[in-house]
Parts: sequence; C-alpha cells; structure tokens
Amino acid sequence: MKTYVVEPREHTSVEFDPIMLHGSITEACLTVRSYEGEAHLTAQHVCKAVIAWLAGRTEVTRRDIRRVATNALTVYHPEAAYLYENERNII
Amino acid sequence: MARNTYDYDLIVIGSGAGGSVAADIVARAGKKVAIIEKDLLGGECPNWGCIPSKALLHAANIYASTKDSQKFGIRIPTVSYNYLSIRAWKDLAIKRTGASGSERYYRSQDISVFNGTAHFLSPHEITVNRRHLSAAHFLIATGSTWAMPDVAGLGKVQYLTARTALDLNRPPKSIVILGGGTIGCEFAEFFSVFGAKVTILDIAPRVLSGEDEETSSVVEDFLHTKRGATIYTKAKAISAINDGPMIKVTYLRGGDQHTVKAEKLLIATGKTPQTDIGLENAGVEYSHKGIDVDQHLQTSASHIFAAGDVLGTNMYTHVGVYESRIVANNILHKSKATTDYKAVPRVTYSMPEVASVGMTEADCLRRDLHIKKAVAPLNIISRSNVTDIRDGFCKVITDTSGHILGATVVGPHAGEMIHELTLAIQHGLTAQQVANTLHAFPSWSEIVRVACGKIKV
Repeated sequence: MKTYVVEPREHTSVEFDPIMLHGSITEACLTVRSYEGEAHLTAQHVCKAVIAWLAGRTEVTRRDIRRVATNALTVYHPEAAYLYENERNII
Repeated sequence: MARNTYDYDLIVIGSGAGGSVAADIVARAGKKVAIIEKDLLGGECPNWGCIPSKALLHAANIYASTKDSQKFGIRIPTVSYNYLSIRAWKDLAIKRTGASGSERYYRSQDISVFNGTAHFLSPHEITVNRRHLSAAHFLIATGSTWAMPDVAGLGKVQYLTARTALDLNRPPKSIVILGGGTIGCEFAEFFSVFGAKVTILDIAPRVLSGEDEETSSVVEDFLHTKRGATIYTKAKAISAINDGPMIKVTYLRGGDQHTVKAEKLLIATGKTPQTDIGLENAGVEYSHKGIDVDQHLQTSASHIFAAGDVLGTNMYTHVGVYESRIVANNILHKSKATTDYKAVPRVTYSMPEVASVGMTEADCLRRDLHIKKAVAPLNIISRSNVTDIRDGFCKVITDTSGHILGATVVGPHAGEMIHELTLAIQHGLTAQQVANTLHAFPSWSEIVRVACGKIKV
C-alpha cells in the first residue's frame, strides 16, 4: 500500500519517498559530525522505523513523518534528532 | 451547528461503546454524523471482549458445576465437552449482539459509515482511505490495545492475547498467563476448568491488585486449591523462547531466576490507549496514559471530544457508554454535563465473582480518610448453606458518619448485587439505610444487609 504525504493547507499530496527521508536523516547526522558510514546506518534504521509506522496508513502529514523519524533517531543519535526536529528554527 | 464548509456536524472515530451511543443520539437530533471504524463494527466488547469471554465462562461454569454436582445427589456418569461446540456457542452470543449488522442500522439513521483507519490532517479534517472528511466536532473513541510487556524474545514466540485466546481449537494442556488482573484471572479460571495447567506470573504482590487484599486472597485461594493453578506474584517475566513445541518463560522472583514451560503463553498485562491517529495535527494533548480531557470530556482542542478506553482511566464498556452520552449532550446542548466517577462498578467474572464499587481501603488510606469498615463472610447467610457455596464476602467502607464510600462483594452473582451499593454511593446513602432496607430471605443479597448492619456510627 502506498502512503502519501499531505500538505493540508495547500491540498496537495506526494508519495512518501524513503530516499528523501534517508537523505535528510543522513544530513542531520553528518552535521553533528557522525562518521559517514554511521550516518547512513542510522538513517537506514530510522527509515525502517518510519516505514513500519506507515504500514496501513494511506495518508499522513509531513509533520507526522518528522515526529516519528525524530522519535526513532533519538534512540540512535539524540543530538542529530534535536537538529532534525528543530532545523527550521535554527538559523 | 456546522458551518457549510464542513462535511459533517460530528465525526466519530471508533464504533465501540464510547463512540456508537453519541453517534446515535446526535444523529437522532437531526445532525449529520459519520462513524469511522478500522476493525469490526461494535468495537472490542461485543466482538472480542466482554461478550465472547463471558459466553465462554458461562459454558465453563456449567461444566464445572456439573462435575461438582455429585454432592447434591445428582449422578452423571461422564461429563465431557466438545470445545468446538463451546466456540460455536461463543460465536452465537457474538452474533446475537447484532454488532455485525449495525452498519444497516447506522445507515437507517442516516449515519455514514467508513471502514478504515482515521488520521487527523488538521484540527477539522481527517483522512480515511485517502478520502478527506471534515467536521465541526469530533469524538475520539478509538479504544485501547493490549499492552506488550518488556519481555525479551516475545516477538519470536507465538503468544496469545485476550483476543486470539478466544479462538483456540482446543484448550491448551498448559498455559502461562502474564498478568493477574481481571483478564488474567478470568482466562485462568476458564482454561483451568477445561483441564489446563495454569501458571500466572504477576509483577504485583497479589492478583487483582487494584482490589482490596481480602478479594485477592479469596481469588488466589480458589484458583490454587479448587482449580490447581500456580500463582507467582512479585514475578517479573524477562524472556520467552520456543523450546520444541513448548514456550519457555524465564522470570525473576525474590532475586532468583526461574523458568516455567507451557504449551501456550497469554499476555494479559493490561491495555494501553490507542492514540496514534495524528492527534498532534489536531492540537490534541495526550500522553502514554491517554487523551487529556476536562470534566466535559473536551480535549485541548475544544471541538474535539474523547470517550471510552482512549482516556485511559476507567476502561469499562459501561463507562464508555456513560461518557458517550455526556459527549452527545455537550455537543447538542449549551448546558454542559460533567462526568462523575465516584460510583463506577467493576466486575471480574472469575469464580467466585468479584464486584466492587467506589473506593477501596487503599484508596481511602491514600487520601487520609477516617473510615469505618465491616466484612461479612458469605457462609453466614442461608443461601450459602443451601447451595454449599462458601467462598466469598461482602465488605463495606464508610466515612465516620456512615455514608458508604466503597464496597466489595465476592461470591455468586456479585456483579448483580453490587448495583445496590452503587446506587447507595451515587446517592449518598448510609450503611444504616441500606441495612434497614428489606432483603429477601434466603437471597445472596442478604450479605449486603449483614455487612451494612455491622457498621456502627
């Protein structure tokens, strides 16, 4: 079953892209000076957790993905999780 | 009520006790209502909760009392059972509730029914199967799910939950039950009647730990002596692994590690509210204990209400129905109804049956209340004599002026007897007033009169 990520205000939706999520998690990990291999591995674990959460859900919001990914990332890398959660607020 | 921009006046998420009643009342008032259900219509209680488990327990009680009837001069050469027929009886009981046919009923009431998982996208909008629905009000009645204990290897063994345990093809030869609460005790009673070797592992110091100590001791004693069950309290299960056709459960007790093997493993460690429906997108505050509501059952988003198990407090069908009525009133009327939980009856359909209402003795101690209490054993009343049922008691707790604060009845039909005491608590009656009420002789209810009569103000 495909899951779509909805933007409620704009009434648009795009198919969930795990590669995009993998990329942003990796980026968050690298920003807090993780090793590249470790960053990819962490992103893999986080993507797996998010995909498991998405099972049975047809539509979610971007905020949902960010929340679930943050929760999963906190287990592996709390600093990266903080950055990932608050990147929009950090100048 | 609803602005034209919304599809519905009310969307109810969950068709169980907490949701269906409000949907019905609001629809009857001429409002546009939709109900969303991700599983079977009717929710847990009629499909895989109270109704099927009580139907099975009824069959078990008949089997047990028939086997025990020789002392009354009744001779039955062989008493046996056909488990598949017992299951068929349970299925008939479920069918009779009419839950499976409720979709037709809802449609007759102009209630739209959607089958799927609801997820909030924004405070007034949800998605179900990629269909976006909006409403002026929402009622969250998503219920609860089985809480999984932190036991290593649990994912690799085929464990039972209270839902899957109802559909076994035969009773297991042996079973380990994790949890000695209401569900654990009821299944222990059921399986042990049909010959299973039952072991209960409970992390609490006694079974039915939410009830008074006397209650736990009667139930533990009955399960152990009459049903042959083994009960380990203060026991924490730490791992479960497959061992051939058996499941080996390792637990810690008294600082030592022990193991127990059984054919089946049943998880009955409690329930957790189902809150994973995108509540953050709707601005609804919640915790792992459930959704936060005020006395009007309004959540932090004032147009969203919650009722039933999802609140995480009183997880009973009758409370769900009560809360659902309050929500319906608060959606339809300006004068808001408030919740009152001082007299919530709780029943465990074990043998002997356990029923309680109001505060336990421990609750009173925690609140530093000065109390009076009286306990009347069941064997002092005539009904006990003529039926040879001796296990049980009635305990009444009052304040210093004699007003009933809490009560427990353990014995046959305790679930019916408790309502007299529920009424007394709800309307502020004293124990003396209950004792002065005529009780038929020889009835089980006499025990209530005797216990109340023992309270001296």
